[in-house]
Amino acid sequence: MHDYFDGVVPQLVARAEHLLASIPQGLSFEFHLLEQTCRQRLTEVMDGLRALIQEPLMRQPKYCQVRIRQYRRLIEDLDLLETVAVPALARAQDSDRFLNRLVQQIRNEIKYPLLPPVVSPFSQSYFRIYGQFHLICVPLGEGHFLLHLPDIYHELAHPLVWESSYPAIKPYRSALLETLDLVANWLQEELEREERGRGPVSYQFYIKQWTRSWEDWCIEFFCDLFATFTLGPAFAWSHLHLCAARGSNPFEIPLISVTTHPADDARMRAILNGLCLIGFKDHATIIERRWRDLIDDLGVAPDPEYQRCFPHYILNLIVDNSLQGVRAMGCRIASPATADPVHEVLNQAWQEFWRSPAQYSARERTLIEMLRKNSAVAFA
Amino acid sequence: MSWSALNADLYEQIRSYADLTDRALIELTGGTAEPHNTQRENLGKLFSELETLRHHDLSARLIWLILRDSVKMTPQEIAGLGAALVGAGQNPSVIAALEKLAQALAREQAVVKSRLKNGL
Repeated sequence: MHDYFDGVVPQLVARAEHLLASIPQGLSFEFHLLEQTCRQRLTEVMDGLRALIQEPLMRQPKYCQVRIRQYRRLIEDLDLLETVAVPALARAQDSDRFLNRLVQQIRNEIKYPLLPPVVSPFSQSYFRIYGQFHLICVPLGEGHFLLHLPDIYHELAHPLVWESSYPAIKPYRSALLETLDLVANWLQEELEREERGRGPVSYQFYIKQWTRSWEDWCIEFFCDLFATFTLGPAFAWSHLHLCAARGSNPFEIPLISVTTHPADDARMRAILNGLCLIGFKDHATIIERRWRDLIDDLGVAPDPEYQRCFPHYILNLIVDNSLQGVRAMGCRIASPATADPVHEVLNQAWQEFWRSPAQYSARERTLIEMLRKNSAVAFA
Repeated sequence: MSWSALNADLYEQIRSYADLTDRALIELTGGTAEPHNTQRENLGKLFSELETLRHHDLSARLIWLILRDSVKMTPQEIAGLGAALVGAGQNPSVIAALEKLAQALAREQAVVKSRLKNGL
């Protein structure tokens, strides 16, 4: 394989150099951190690639497996830089400034403890955060509409889960870890009960699969609840909107595979419980009614295993622990009295939508304009 | 809410463990070991303390789960591997265990990468 590496490495280094050269000059300050990260990572990739052919060690037969693994990791790094991070810089426009200012405003309003991520409106799917680049990608038109913007709050929670260099977020991470341990213990007890009993063996298999999935589900629940506690009802509406438009069976539970996201209905139940805890019980009742309407329209019902996979007391435990973590982190918890500008507009948008759905589009333009003006004043 | 923010985070975490494991493997097999603060020692200390660390650090919990579920190691075996790594010496069983871990991490990366690309 030496000759293969001798051929492809210079080509890949040239590709990385081309990417470095395609980073535009004079980017606005919101993009400075991303630019620095991209330059640094591209340089690391080039150094790593060169080492694959220049390090005498890498030419020894005993390191051939190490070399191919390192090569694949570097290719993956380069792919991500080429398809996500560098295009976000190459396509940066002045019009991106609104969403970036909005995220900074949100950060100030909710006392988000980390630096604000940069926002790029060129996502090919939906909202997506890349923690390693401190980058949120949103669909192209998202800066002109309001109903999905609450999902930014969920995305902001993801970096909190893994970041270890900010002491302020330790309580949130501790609350998550404590929850993961409690959930793992509950599932272990469930499994032992099944093994002792005379029920179908398939249940034991399900519980093992759920145990693996719950590791990721807890994180998603915590991100949902961070958004719920810092924004309030608008996040619950946004979840309903996403499920109506893009969801599958809201009661779906994995019986064979492992999944990263819990069932949409379980997520909604946790979100509604969270709203009740912070003083939005009336809103929760209204949202729950609409949620039931959606389930009726979908014509679906939970399987018998569903309640066992997402029992009420476990969801309540997650909600309680999450609130404790968000509070201890020092974030502003939303309440019916919260009057921060972005908070108000995002919640008002959903009120306006339900007040008069057919007239909402016209009203949304006014609200967006209000938000833009407010954001321009805040950063003047 | 994103369908793949979690996968991107997981990928990054697994990637850094894969890198650390390969570097430790090179040091251990006579590559570039230095007297102190080597990757091998870092990995050894991590494994030695993993049983406690996993309750306080999500990243440690992730590697603990991979060692338990994919590499099929018991807590005692993980701690033993950690002690052997800190203790140095070219022990074939330690090299074999690290190689097994490196392959498991490569598989985990492939799974997460495929979920990322499929937007799951």
